[in-house]
Formats: sequence, structure tokens, C-alpha cells
Amino acid sequence: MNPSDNMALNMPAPATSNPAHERLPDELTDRELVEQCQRGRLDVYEHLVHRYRQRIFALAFSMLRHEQDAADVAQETFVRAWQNLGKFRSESSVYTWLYRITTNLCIDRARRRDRRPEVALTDDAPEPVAATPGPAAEAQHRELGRQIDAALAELSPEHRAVIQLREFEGLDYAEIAQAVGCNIGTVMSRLFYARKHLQKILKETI
Amino acid sequence: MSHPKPEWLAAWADGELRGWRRWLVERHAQNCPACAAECRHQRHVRELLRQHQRPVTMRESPEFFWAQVRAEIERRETVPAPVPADSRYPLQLATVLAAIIVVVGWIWVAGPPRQDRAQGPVPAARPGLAVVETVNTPIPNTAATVLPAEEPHIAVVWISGLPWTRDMDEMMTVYADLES
Repeated sequence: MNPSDNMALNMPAPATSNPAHERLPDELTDRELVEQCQRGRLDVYEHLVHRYRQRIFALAFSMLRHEQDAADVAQETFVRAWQNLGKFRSESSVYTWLYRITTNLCIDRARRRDRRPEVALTDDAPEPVAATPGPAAEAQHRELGRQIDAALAELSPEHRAVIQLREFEGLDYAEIAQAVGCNIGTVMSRLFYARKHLQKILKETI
Repeated sequence: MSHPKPEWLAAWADGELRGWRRWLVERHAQNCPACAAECRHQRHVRELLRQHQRPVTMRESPEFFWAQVRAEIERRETVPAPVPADSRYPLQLATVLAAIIVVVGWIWVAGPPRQDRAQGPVPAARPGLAVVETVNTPIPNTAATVLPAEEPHIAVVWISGLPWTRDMDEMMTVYADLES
């Protein structure tokens, strides 16, 4: 995910554009969508769900390491978000608010669930394109990716959440603090120790 | 040499440290090989993570996922819109309630007088018989009530407070005045 995508989603509409009710939902900013949803537009809410479902799922999966649990949490996130749209304050961005709901649900679920084995996504999930061409380089790249994935699995859900939000979602520290419900000092600390732990695990590789 | 907090190194490597802390870490890292190395490691792990990010994709189609979300929302009966906090109507609701209370109170206080308030105490009647008229009797400590009768020439009078006797003649003698 490109962090600039997040920024673009929340930029105010250009002054020359049509009013919100005359534009397609896909052209609306998050806040405009939320305003319409707050008037009971469930059909508009669908667009907000489509906009964020993959990111919410990715965050839930990074924390829970279980595909079905992550899908359940993603669904529950959007149901809870709809139920609480009336309480949403525009001081925070929509995605940090959604991430906050997701992290809370994930932490609850991680505490409650049985000690089931955590499973990664199967290999038929799309792989990133190798930075260097050639089968050998690609295999090496893939192997390193697996090791990193295994190293991430050893972190706590809270540490994985800050890694996911920082490295993959591109949030800044203040947004991460808002999304996971802690202060910036805790974000700094979690990021430092998460990377330190990864470095230790991947020491031979890197 | 005192080192800055380790988490500040990560924040500095991310460009997220501000103010005097940033200045402190920058100056310290120039003269401390260990902290400079730690900053490099933090950046290195960060780059590794970003390069080897595995795109996580939800298997469910957007349409199927939305259908599930929508069904769950409807199951919980939340389709009536979540009202935004700043557009609720507490003041209007309170005004309407206050108006209703005032109107009901006014009707209660200033409404037409009720029958039982305007008249005096009603003499006790036998159950099932309506009180038609209350009359005075010449006999002390008694009360008489004329009750409706089936025949127009017969007056049924219920007298309370009379001493009782089985002898009708004696009754007629003692209470001869009642004939009038």
C-alpha cells in the first residue's frame, strides 16, 4: 500500500468539483462518504467497505496469523463501524478509526481463542514481483520472504500491528498511536523492539 | 557516554523524532558507533520488510464480503440509520415533553369540576340499587332513601338506623308516622 493513497483518500474535494450528492460514491472522500452513511445510506456504506476491506483484512491477518479469523474480524469491524458511525468524530481519519476497531477486535480474539496453530496464507496467494530477474534470485527472494514471515509470526499481535501499520500501510507514528490506542512513546518502543527481534531472528540471513 | 533511549534511535531512523530529541540523537550518533550501527540495523530491517512484503489478499470477492456484512448489519437490526451525534434532537425532544406535561397539568388543574367534588357525601345505598332521592324522617338517628320501584304507585323507601322487630303491628304502631 502506498501511503500517498491514504493521503489522497482524505484530501478535500477540489473547489471546482460538484457537490457531494452529485458525484459518484467512488469519487467521494472518506468524510463525504461517512457523512452520507450517517444519514442512513447503507448503499453508500458499501463503497466505504470496498475501499478498506483489503487493508482491514491485512491488518487483522498480520495480528492474528489466521485467515478465517482475519476474515471474521474484518466483517465484524465493518458491522461495528456501521453501528457506531453516529459516534464517529471527524477529528480523526476514517481509516485510523477503522484500524482502531480492528486492533481491538484482534486483541480480544487473540486472548480468547484456543491455542490453534497459526497458519500463513497458502502459496497460491499472489507473490510480489521479484526485484531481480532470474529464477535463482527469485527463489532466494521468496525464501527470504518466508523467513521474514516466520519471524513476524514470533512477534506478539501488538508488535505485529505496529509493523503492519508502519511498514506496509505507511502510517506515521501519530496515526499508529491513534489506530492502536496507545501513546507515541509506546509506538516507538514497539517498533524498535519488533525490528530488533526480527533482526535477531534473521541475523544469519541478513 | 550516556546513550539516548533505544526507541529514539528507531524513531530517528524513521524521521519521526522531533525537537531536542532529534538534535540529541543526531549529535550522539555522530560520535557513538554502537548507536549509529543500531540506527543502520533499524533501517535495514525496515527495508527488508518493505521489499519482502507479502500481499495479503482476502479470498472472498468484494460482493460476497459486502453481502455478509450487510446481512449481519440487518440481522442486528441496525439498518435504521445511525444518527450522527451532533444532529440528534435532545432539545427538541425535551421541549415537546415539557409542552405535553404543561397541557396535561393545565387540564388537571383548571378542567371542569368533577361530580364527586361538587356534591356532598352520598348516602350509602344497597348494592345494586340506584339512589333516587334522600328524604328526611321524623325518627331520630335514621336516614331514608327513596328507591326506584317497578310499580309507579309504590314507593320503596330504604330506612337505615331503625330498631328491628318481628311484629309488624308493633312496627306500624311505633313507626306510624312513616305512613305519611
